[in-house]
Amino acid sequence: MTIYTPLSLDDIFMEKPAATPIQEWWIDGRLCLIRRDKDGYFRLERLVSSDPQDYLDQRFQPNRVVATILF
Amino acid sequence: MRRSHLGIFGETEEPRVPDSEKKKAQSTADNIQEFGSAKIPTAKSRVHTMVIIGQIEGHVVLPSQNKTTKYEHVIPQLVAIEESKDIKGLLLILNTAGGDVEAGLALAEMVASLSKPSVSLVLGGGHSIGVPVSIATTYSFIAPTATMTIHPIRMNGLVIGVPQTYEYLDKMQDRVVNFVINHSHITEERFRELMFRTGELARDIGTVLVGKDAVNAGLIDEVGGIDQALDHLNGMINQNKPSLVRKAHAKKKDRE
Repeated sequence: MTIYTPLSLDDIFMEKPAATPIQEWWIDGRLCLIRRDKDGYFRLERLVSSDPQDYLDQRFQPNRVVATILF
Repeated sequence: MRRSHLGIFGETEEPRVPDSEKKKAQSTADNIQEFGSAKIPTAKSRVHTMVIIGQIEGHVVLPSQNKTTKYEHVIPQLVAIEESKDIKGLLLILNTAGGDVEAGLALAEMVASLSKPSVSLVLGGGHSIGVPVSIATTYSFIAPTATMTIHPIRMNGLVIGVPQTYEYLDKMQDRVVNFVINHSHITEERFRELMFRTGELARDIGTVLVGKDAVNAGLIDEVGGIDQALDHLNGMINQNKPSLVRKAHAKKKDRE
């Protein structure tokens, strides 16, 4: 990866990214990659869908708490 | 008398209501039943706003203290914008510190190849790989106080083959330079001169362009804010000529 930024790379990579296990959940007919954060909430890491319109759906934006997607 | 009574009775039993009115009443009843409200708010703006913030994240997930724009979400959104019948234009707002070269170029190429009019507005900063992303739109604006840092691509970490690494970095840099000169009014010589200028940045070589400087350099089209950006976008949408979008890109390529 070539990173092109005026910031110091030490600032960007200050801490190691936490290796959070990702789970696959089917929500409302869409495959979602879900991670569980330290605060106990399940959040959307990534949506996997072949329908581009799903990516404009506010419910499936990254970091959305899963409970708010369901209700 | 009897006949008229029957007539009145018949009318009250089946009032003549137009079909459209019936449907409207039915859908309102459905809304109340399903959502507890007579009117459901529907966001039907013809302009889609996309905000590019923080680091543009590429193939590697960045540590959590970074704010990032994830390309795996933004790229399909651009596909959705292109194929949507309701969305007529794209407003791209940038406040980014740069990021992954390939992810940034991927976004820039997607924006540049949209058939719908697009306008970018650089607020705060549009640094490094944010430069190609901000100029990829049909027309670009920069806030008077916003800055754009132009500097060479650099690397850290282990270098095994020096000539090969140099060649690779040179190619990566050429990709960025070529995109910028093909989508803005700046010349290659001028852009490289800004990129390798010494004495302006403390920790790097390069240049910081503030608001008007970016316009004078030929990178951005105009200094402005949200009002001008939306006004210009709506103007292009109202003209409803896809050829205008292509013409605008071609005009930039000609580099006056």
